[in-house]
Amino acid sequence: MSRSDWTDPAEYEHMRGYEADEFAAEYLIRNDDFVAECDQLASSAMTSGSLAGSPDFAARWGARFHNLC
Amino acid sequence: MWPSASEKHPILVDTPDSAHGIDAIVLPLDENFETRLDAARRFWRALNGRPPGVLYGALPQQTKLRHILNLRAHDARRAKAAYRRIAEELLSRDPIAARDWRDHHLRHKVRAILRRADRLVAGGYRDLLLYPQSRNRKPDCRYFGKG
Repeated sequence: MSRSDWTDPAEYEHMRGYEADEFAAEYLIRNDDFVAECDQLASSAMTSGSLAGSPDFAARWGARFHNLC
Repeated sequence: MWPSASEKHPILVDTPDSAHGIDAIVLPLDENFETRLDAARRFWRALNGRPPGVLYGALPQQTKLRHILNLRAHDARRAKAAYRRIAEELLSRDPIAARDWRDHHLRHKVRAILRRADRLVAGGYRDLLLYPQSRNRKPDCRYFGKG
């Protein structure tokens, strides 16, 4: 996963407009286990617009996503 | 979705046709009541052409800056930056000489920030999802020790 250049404040400037849920998402995408599970999900066939992941996935991570592909 | 001039209101309905003609909102009296109440209030204001008002649970600017600091420090460690380098870039206006680092006061601060970031990445983010009512809960360690 691509990351911001931590030495460049400009790359984080947009986060000044974030609210709590958006910061939560930033922390979550830095969780290696979560990223690995998402990669697995992405490789499985899904219908566009459907909910990604099992209820178990949502319960464990506290988040669930619509497939945007 | 109900687009108003200033924001969108995502609405889930049981049946596809019932999005039109909403005349009541039922809110469960659970731990998320205040969040739902605020969403309902904002929706009602939009319906009546009023400005949405201040967002319930808006983060103070100081808290936002702290989260940005956490994330930058976390990204820095992932990029294999030395702790002294992280301190220089994020916490100090001046360069820190290698010989001063061992007893430098920022050494503890960098470690504390990274511990905080690790805690949030490991599961603390879930409290942020429920902010601000999560402020009233007792902190616990349920996110640690998971395999």
